[in-house]
Order: sequence, then structure tokens, then C-alpha cells
Amino acid sequence: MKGTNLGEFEELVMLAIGVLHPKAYGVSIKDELTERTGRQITLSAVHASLHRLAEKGFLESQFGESSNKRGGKRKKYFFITAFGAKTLEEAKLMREQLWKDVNKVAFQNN
Amino acid sequence: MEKFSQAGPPAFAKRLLQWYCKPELIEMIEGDIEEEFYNRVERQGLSKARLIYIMDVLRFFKPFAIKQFFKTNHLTMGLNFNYLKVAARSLKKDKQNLFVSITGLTVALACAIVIYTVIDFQINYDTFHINKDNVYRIIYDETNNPSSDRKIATVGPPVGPAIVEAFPEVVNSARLRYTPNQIVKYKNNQFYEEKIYYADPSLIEIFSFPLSKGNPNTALKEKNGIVLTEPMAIKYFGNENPLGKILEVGEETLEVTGVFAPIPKNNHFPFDFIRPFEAFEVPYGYPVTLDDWGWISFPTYIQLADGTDPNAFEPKLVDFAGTHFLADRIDNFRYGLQNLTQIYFGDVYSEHTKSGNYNYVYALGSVGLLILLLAGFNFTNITTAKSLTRATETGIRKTLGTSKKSLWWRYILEPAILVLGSLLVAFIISPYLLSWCAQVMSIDYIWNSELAIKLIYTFIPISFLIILLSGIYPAFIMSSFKPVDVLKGTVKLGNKGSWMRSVLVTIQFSITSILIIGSLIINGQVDYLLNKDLGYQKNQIALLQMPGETLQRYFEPLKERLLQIPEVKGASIGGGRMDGDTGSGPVSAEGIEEPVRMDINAVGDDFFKTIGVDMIAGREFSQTNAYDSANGIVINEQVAKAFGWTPEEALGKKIQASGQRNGAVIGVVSNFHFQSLHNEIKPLVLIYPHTRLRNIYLRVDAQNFHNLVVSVESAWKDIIPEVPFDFVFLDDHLQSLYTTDRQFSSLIKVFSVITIVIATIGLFGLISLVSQFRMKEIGIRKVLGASVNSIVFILSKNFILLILVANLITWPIIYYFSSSWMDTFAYQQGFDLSFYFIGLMLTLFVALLTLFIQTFKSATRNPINVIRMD
Repeated sequence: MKGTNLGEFEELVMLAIGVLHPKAYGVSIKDELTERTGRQITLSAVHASLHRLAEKGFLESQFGESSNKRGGKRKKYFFITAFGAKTLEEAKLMREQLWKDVNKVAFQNN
Repeated sequence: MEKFSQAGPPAFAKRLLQWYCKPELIEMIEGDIEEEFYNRVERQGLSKARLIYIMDVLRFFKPFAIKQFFKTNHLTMGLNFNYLKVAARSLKKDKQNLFVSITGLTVALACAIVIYTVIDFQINYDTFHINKDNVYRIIYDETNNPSSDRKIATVGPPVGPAIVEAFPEVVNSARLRYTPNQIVKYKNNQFYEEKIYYADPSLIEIFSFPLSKGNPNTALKEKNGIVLTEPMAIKYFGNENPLGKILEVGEETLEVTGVFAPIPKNNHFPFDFIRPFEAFEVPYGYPVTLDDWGWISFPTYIQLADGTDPNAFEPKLVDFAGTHFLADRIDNFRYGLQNLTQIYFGDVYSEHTKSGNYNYVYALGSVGLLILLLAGFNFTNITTAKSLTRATETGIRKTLGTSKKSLWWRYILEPAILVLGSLLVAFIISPYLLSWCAQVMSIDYIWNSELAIKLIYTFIPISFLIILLSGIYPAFIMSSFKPVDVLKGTVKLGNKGSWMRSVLVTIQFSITSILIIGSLIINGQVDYLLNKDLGYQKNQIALLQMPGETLQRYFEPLKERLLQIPEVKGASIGGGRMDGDTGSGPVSAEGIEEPVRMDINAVGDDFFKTIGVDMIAGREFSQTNAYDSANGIVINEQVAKAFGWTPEEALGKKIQASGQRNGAVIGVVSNFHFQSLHNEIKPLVLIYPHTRLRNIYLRVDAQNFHNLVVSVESAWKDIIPEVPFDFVFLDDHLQSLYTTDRQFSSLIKVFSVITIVIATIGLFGLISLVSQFRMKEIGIRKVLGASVNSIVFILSKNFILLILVANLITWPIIYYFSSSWMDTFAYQQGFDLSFYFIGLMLTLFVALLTLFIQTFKSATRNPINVIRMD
């Protein structure tokens, strides 16, 4: 699994981090994704994904401020690394290429 | 700060997270879950948020977040993974035992969850009211009156408002008034409705009965308004908006001014309709007014100001009563307070409220504990016995240098997997079990996230206890083995732990016989109640009802028509339905100094002939003349006894019954049960009805049930087509008096059967293990010429001995508890030794059957296969 591949959910998480920059952390990413996709997304799924993305080198993180609501625990903010940005860009390009080359007839069935 | 921590996430889940989570991730994860939790508290409420917090913690139990537990010693770590593998293999290999352990435990845990839910519902009656700690019902306590020992749940109508006015510490009061059933009609929908109350508007302020539709400030203030519960709104109006619709209630037309939001089922006074108290009028023929302090028929609730001590407040009510009653009356009673949450299990009886019986809660709770204990022992027994087959494995592990601590893990791992798995399955199936109980036995319960959290808090520790118990003994024994002995084979396996096994088996059989005999006794008592001779012929009596005014007008023509039907042998009217629904009041008689409070009821002509009760002396009301109607009084034997008369002496004695009748005894009727059998037959004074009665009693020949109902209904339709036809047999109606008894007896019966099954499969597993240990012994015996029968006998005799011992221990225990339970009934079945014998025989039979099947299998095995292994 390791390498430069991006899963669908991973891609969504990275994009959400981009949207929320520079305030992307676990809960805010989850809320953003829930709102945008309308799916039931659990916190643990987001964290698992963040962990994997960081391992692949697409993300870096840094502790931020704490709050009462978090029982005094600090937030961990996530940022996209240059490598991450490049992978994301490549994924997008690849899709656009694929879209461009799609035979239009394929979508006209039924 | 205190409050903040109380509303926080569940502590055990937090600890669980801290325990398994990687230290470098803990701050981020813990913070995120907690923030999420507080977001949810705002949106979905505390209990839901807590549940989701727990689930979140469980969801994070993923490889990336779990810390490494065994990182110091590589050898033990290797072995630990190996443990998992070996545990899985041994579970797979011994499928029979796996099945036995898991089914027993799962069923037991599911039963315990069901019982917990049922009990939780019972003991939380009325706890959903926000003001529950400050709301009290005023009771009318006659216990210091020598001629009465009653506590009455109602007081006079002026009491509530007067108390609010007199005491600053009372902030609010609400009076209720029950109305007898009435016909409620909307367009073509018409039904008899029983639960209609008049209530002060403050009802909504004192109790937590929010309105889902309508204005709470005005809903109960409009005189011709009516507020209904949601089920009623759907029953009458379907999907239409009920607000502003016109309902016909009895002879009045009322406008719907509000609908209650769904009311939790554990509310002690079930109601369907509430009308403003202002609309209540004194019924026709009652010699009282709404200012009458002595008209004790109104349930009254008061709300004390925060911080008022009820014990200090209660005595003030005595002085308060003194200002409103004459001195000679004030000595006969005092006002008392009863907290809202204590009403359900309280000792103050009231007809229209629900009441619980703590005995059943205890009984059910004990059954739950016993089942758990039984399954726990079963499990421990099998795990212990099975672990002994691992001696060689343990020996080898020890020689390889495994530490004691890590061996301990080895023995705890297998039961842990099984127990937690069983718990999970139990949680999944228990809602189905509950809804089955609700359907078959109409058991009430509430299943919500609050309960789910309580269940988790209770059952996770219980399962850890079971794991510990079943793992600790083998762990202790095994880790103390000398590896050399084990590997040399000089350790005798079969006898290890056999004393503990005997003790556990004995306890197991004790529990089984307690439950079997106990449920037989409970069942016997309930059957006895349902079949006891009540002094009248209950299965030949049918009841019809109609509103009082209609009955007065149409009874004679209807009676004439009904008596033409060949199946109808007699017809009369009477107050109540033999369910204790009577009036009461002070009764005085000539030659008796103090008036005595007695039940008073009204019956029509030929009532006793109709229901089949004999007159002992004198006559009953029959073709009543003006004198009998105005002055005639019939008493039951108990009244004569209370006044010290023989039945013959009683005739002609002057009696004054409350304010209602002043006359002389014309007849004495033999005792019959006009209340449920929880009560003894009390003195009963019967008068000729002047107020409106609503029940018609028919003496019928029920052989041809269909003909009977059809002809009665057509007679009814001819004479009063506008009134709904409501026909029941008295027998069926009386069953409803024992609903609680029947529900709990059937619950206990079901769980006892389950216990027997669990015990049986436990025994089955155990015997198969024991006979495995003794395989060589059996082989040698066979080679030496022992017959199959004698081998079966040798293998079984210990168990049979244990069963006998268990029964000896339990009989006195059962006798003690069952007689204290029976004392709650006024009428008890006698002591019956046969229940005990049936219990013993049943346990023996089941055990022997299992024993023979299992031991026969071992005894018929070819000895060569066993012995040649050495």
C-alpha cells in the first residue's frame, strides 16, 4: 500500500485540509467532510487516514492551542507538504486526462 | 467545577483509551473525541453523547493507535502472539465445548440484560419528572385510628389550594379527579374511554408533561377544552391536526386545546384525556360540595419550594387540618406526604394508579443473579477442567523460559475471547428478547441510550469478573507446576481441581433446584388465585356497560328483551365489577358506639340470585318496594361479625351508612370476594342504587357462546343503538386484577426453563471432560471385564450424590423465602411437598439423561484405542 497512491477517502481528507488551512485538525476535518459529502464519517476513520498520509509523507503536523472543551488537550494541526501537494496535483491531472480521453458514447447508454 | 465533571464523558471509556492508545497520539485523539463529545452534548443531549463517546473510543481501537504492549522481552512477545494462535486453535479443535460455553454464557447474559431492563423500568417509576424531588402526594392517613388502618391516596377538594395559601414553602398544587368511563366520539369514531381526568392547570407546571401541540398556558384553562395524549390524538384524528377539533365526551361537546408529547410509560397515573378542573361538577345524587373537606376522593399533589425539608413540613399539616375539622374528627386521621418517586412501590393503595410489588423486583433480580452465577460457574468449571489438558504445553513453555506473568496471560486469553464474544452477542439479541417478552407477557420496558450506558457500566465489569474467575484458578495451578514433573508425566491430571469442581457443581444444582421449585410454587399460587372459589359463579356471568343516565332510562326495557333470550338466565345491575371498585364511608349501627369505615356498594333487584350468592338470612332487594328502596340495607357476613351479631340477630338492626342511607338490615348475604384476592373479604354494606350505576350483570349459559353474543347484541341494538356494545365475561375481567402476578410468574417461569437448559448443557460439557480424564481408567476396567452398566454407574454416582446434597441444602432456603412471599397474599395455597419432589425429580431426570448419554459414549468405546497410547 505504501507509495504515492491516493485512496478516494485520503484524497478527500487532503483536500479538506487544504480548504481549512491553516486550521485543519481532526474534528474540523471530520465536520467539513460530513457537511460536504453528507456521509456518516467517524472520527477514527479520519484519524486513521491522517496517520497513513503522514506516514507516506504527504502531511506534516504541529501542535496548536488547547481549549476547555478539549479537556485542556492541544489541537494538532495538519499541513500539506510539498510532496503531498504534488501528488494531489498529479492525481487531479491524471483524472482530467482520463476524462478528456473518455469515449463520450460510453456515457450515453440507456 | 463539580457540575462540569459530572456532565463529562464516561470515565471508564476515557481510561480505556488512555490504556491502549499510543502515548504520542493520545493528546490529539483524546482532545478530538472530547471536543466532539461536547459538540454532541449540545446537539443530541448528554446520554446520547456519552454513548457515542464510548463507541468512538472503541472505534479507535485500530492498529495505528494501539501501543505495543509487550515490547521489552522479545521472547515473551513472540509467545504472546503464539498464545492467540494456540487459543484460536484449541477453540477450533473442541467445537463442542466452544458451543457449550458460548451458548450458556450468551443466553445467561442476554437474560440478565433483559431482567436488568425490566427492573430498571420498575424502579424508575416517575423519575422522569424534573421536579420529582419536590413533588409530594398528600395522603389521608387513618393508621392512628383504632377502627381503621387505611392510608388513602386522596383528600378533599379544598385541601390543595388551601395548603398553597397557608404555607409559603408550598409553591404549587394540582388536584385530579377521575371520571368513570365515558363514550368519546369524533365523527364515526366512538369508543369507551376509561382514563379521563379533571385536573388543575398547574398539572403541567408540576409534572413534566410537555405539550407537543397547543399553548401550555391556556390549554387547561378553557372550561370546555380537553387535552389528549398523542396515542389518543392518532386514534381519533389520524393525521389531521387535532387542535380546535370538537370531541363529544359523554353528553358534552369539547374543543381540543392541546396534545401531550409522548409520556414515558413509567408514569404512575396513566391518563388519556385531561379536562380543566373548573369543568368538574358534583355528580348527580352526591350529598357533597366542592368545599367539603370530608369528600376524600381527589388525588392532590403539591410542589415544595427547593430546599424544604418534607419531614419538618409534614407535622405542620396536622395543625393545619385542625383549623378545618372538628376536634372529634381530627383525632381519626392526619395528612401525610408521599414523595412522587415513592408512590409506585408505596403502601397507599389507590384504584386508578399503577402500583408495583417490590417482592417481584427482588424475585426477578435474584433469578437474574442466579442465572449469571450458574452460567459463570458453568464456564469456570469447563475452562478449569479443560486447562488441565494443557499441562504438557505449559511444561514446554516453562522450560523455554516463559515468565509466570506471561503464562497467566495465556490462561486468561481464551476465556476473555469467549466471554467478551458472548457479551457482544447477548447485547445484540437482548432487544429481540425484550420485544418478545413485551408481546407475549406484555412486560413494559424502556430501551434508550441512557439504559444502554447503564448496561455497559454493569455488564462489562461482570464479564471481567467471569474472565478473572475462570482464568485465575488454572493460571495459578499451572504456573506453579514443576515443569520436570509435567514432562515426566508424574502429575495426575484428573484429580486436580476436583474438589473445586464438586463445590461448583453442588452450587449449580442448588441454583437449578431453587429456580425450579420456586417457579413451581409461584405458578401454583397464581393458578390458585385464578381458580379459587370466589363465593359466586364467575364463569357464568357476563358484563355489559353503558353510561349511568342511559342505564337508568333503558334498563327495564333492555332487561325484558334480554330475558327472552334462552341463554340469558338472569339480569341485574351492580356497582363496580367485583374488582374492588366500591365506595366507602363511616357506618354506624344501633348499639355500636364508634362508626366504622366500611365499603359501601349499590346493587339492583335480584343481584345475588343473578351472580349465584346465597342469602344467609332475610331477603335481598327484589321487586323492591318504596320502603326497601329508601331504607333497605343488605350486609355481608363480615359486617355482622364486625358488629358482633349473628346473621339472624342482624335482621332489623338500624344502620346508618355514610350520609347516603339511613335504614335497617333486611338481609345478610354470605361472604363473596368483591375485591382481588390480595385482600381478605372485608365488611360490605349494600344499598339500593339511587345514584347512577353503569354495569349490567347477566347470568348466562355460555355453552353456545356465539348465539349468546349475537342475540344479546341484537337486543342491545334494538333498544339503545347509539351506545357502543361492550360485552365481557366477568372471568376475563377478573384476570386483569392479577396482571402483575401473571406477568412476573410467567417471566420467572421462562427464566427457570432457561436456567435448566443452561445447567444441562453445563453438565453435559463437564461430564464429557471428566470422562475424557478417566478414559484410561475406563479402558482398564473394561479390559478387566467390567460391564457397560457398571461403568456408567461409576461415572454417574458422584454427580447424583452432588444433586442430592444440593437439594438438601436448598429446601429450607426455598421454604423460608416462599413462605415470606406467600404472606403478601390474603389467600394462600397450602404448603405442598410435592413441588419439592417434582423439583428434585426434574433435576435428577435431566442430569441422569445427560449423564447416561455422555457416559454411555465413553463406556462403549473400544478400550484398545485408549490404552495403547501409553
